[in-house]
Amino acid sequence: MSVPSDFHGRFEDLKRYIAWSDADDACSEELLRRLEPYFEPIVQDFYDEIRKHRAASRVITGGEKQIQRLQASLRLWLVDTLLAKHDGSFVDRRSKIGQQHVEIGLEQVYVNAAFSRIRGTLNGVLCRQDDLPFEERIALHQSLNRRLDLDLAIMSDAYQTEYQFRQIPVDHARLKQQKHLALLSRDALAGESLDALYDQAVAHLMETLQGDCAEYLEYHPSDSSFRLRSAAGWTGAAIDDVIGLRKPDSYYEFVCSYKECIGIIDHDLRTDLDFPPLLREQRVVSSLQVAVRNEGQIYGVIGVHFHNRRQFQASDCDFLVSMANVIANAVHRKGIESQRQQSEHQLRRLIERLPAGAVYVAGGQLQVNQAVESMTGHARAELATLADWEQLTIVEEQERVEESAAKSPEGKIVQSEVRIRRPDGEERIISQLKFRSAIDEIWLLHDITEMEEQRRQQLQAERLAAIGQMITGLAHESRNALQRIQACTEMLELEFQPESQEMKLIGRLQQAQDDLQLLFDEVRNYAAPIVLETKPSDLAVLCRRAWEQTEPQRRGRETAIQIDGMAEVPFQADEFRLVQVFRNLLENSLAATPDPLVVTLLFEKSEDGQVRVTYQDNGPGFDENIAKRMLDPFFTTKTKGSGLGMAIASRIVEAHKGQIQPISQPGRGAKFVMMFLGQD
Amino acid sequence: MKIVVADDEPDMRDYFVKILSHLGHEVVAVAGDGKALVESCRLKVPDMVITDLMMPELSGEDALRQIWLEQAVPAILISAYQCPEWIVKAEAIPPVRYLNKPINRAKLQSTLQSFEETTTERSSGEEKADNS
Repeated sequence: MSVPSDFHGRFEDLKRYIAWSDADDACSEELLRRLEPYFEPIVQDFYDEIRKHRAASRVITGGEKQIQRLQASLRLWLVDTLLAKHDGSFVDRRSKIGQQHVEIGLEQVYVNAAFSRIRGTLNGVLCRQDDLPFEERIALHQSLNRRLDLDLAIMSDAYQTEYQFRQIPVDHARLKQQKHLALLSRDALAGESLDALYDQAVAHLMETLQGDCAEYLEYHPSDSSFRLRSAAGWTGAAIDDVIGLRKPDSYYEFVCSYKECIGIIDHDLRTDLDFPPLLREQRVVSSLQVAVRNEGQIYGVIGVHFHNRRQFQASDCDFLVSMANVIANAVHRKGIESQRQQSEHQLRRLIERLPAGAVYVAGGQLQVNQAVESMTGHARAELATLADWEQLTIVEEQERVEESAAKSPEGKIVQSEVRIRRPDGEERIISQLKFRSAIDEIWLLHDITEMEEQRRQQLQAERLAAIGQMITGLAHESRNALQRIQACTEMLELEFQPESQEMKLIGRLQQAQDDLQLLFDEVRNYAAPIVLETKPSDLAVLCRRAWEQTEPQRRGRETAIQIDGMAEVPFQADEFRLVQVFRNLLENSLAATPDPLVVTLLFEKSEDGQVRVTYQDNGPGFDENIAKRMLDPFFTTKTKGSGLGMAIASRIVEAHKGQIQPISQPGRGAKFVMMFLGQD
Repeated sequence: MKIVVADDEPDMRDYFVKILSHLGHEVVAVAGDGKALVESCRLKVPDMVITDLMMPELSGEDALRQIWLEQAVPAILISAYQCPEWIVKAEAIPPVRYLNKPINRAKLQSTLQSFEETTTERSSGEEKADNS
């Protein structure tokens, strides 16, 4: 419905006729000011009256809700009528009201009557404006009436025109087609499944064109086939049957090659067309068919068929093409939709499987991914809010705003570290990178517990290395001084008789100097990097060699060694270093064990090539506390010695890709287990 | 044996003189640096040189190289540090031993003894590469 253009000309005529002047435009606000307080009772009264008249209330089908809406419209209309500029857009607005009255079937007489009622009420209100001089009051009366006259005139005019327009006889067949098209479009927009849409399209075709059979064939580019997706009136064919193929000179190639609808009036006359057998079996005489396509891509073919000769109208073809377009749009949209769903699915998967914790925060609510669950040991349901998160955290380190990021207009990036406690009691250190914007936050979480531990260990190692370097330097530098002490002591010895008191003192001096020398040598040994010079050897042989080297300490004592297990233990070893390890163990046993000392060694090899050496003596052994600290540098239970022997031994074993483990079994002898990785 | 000793430490020079005499050798010259060592060797033509490695002016190592251009005298090198590469690898040089500090009478004595044995072997005609 549009406003005929001659309305505007007529309106200007009308204005002149009722002597509309600038004074009318000028008093609009005055009118509104004086009348507006009475709008509410007027509106109430108006609809109370309508409720009493059956013919008027019949058009109100929406009950009280609609009345409320209509009352609001009436209020707006009143304001508009008093205040509006009487120009073209005003004419359009009033014309629409007239047309709507026709649309809802409200007869014009009721509009006239309603106008009369409103006019009376408003004039009555103006009459009571006693503060105004009579002349001015009259002028307002006149202006009000002119406005109402104009309103009514335009509405009546529009009413009449619309009414006459509606009397023109209509093409029912075309209307029906349009209705079916509209229904199909509506369902397509509502997101109906494609199969349901095909079914509906086929049903609409059957109904509107009175077809004998109709179908939608879906095109499968993989094998160029057209398969039945929906059918009405078809016999001897089932859904998914291949009806035809798209190949050169085939019938469906012919259909697809035309943008427009193909109408075949008599199949028998078209000997040039190779109709598919299944279509022939439907006893089809005439057909209308069109390809469903979008930008050159064929989705399928829709068609309707008749058992008699049919003369087709252009509108029939238009209808079929329109229907094909609706389907093509729907298929295209579904394609996009499924692509969108797929990429959304991929994105979701990406976030979910990210090897880092990802958290989305908005309005105090959290959304977390799998990594966050495994990091915290909590299911996502237990991490729904910021408060849940805060409960996990033990300490939050000072947040650091990344300098460069803080200036970014997108928001800022904040880095922090937070310590959390898992339900199993374990503490973890989490690095938290927060991307903050005005409305939300995105967190990227990394569990850096192991990294931190490594960092701590590395720091410790570096510190030890620095100390080691210093001590090594000291030990080196001391050599010259020690050498001088040694020289002077020896020179002194030459001055005295062998058994003299002085010689005894010199002997003690010599011993102290030797001890100091030994300590420095061990420190240097411990701190120096271990560079192995390996060659094929035999662990059992090395062990015996170490035993032989302890001969001076064993002299005059009752000692024995027993080697069990493998007779030969081939091993790629730095012989000097490994002998040092065995000797160290033996010397410790000799120092701690009263006679008779028995040392047992067991050599074993596991299937995966690991070599296991079990060392055991019959001394007092050691407790758990000592076992724990035994490999630490400078740890000793002896009154003499640097406490570096076992620490050096441990380093040597580690350099051979092995581990030495002191086993505590107090009262049952000292026990050590050495495990070496298999050597190929 | 007639021995020339060199060390920049006076204590050590005294030591060598005293101990070597005690062990029955004759210290024919005492040098405080490499240059003096080279001079002394030229003058005294000793049976043996005992020298510290690190000395001012000329190191014991460089002094020996110069001496060996003139005479093939055996030597004992003494140092607080590791044995220099060239001594480990060299073959065609006069017999040389390396001693790590601190040294003592026993070490000195056994090293000198081993030298005397080698010299005896050599003089009996056996050509045997040292330090191989």
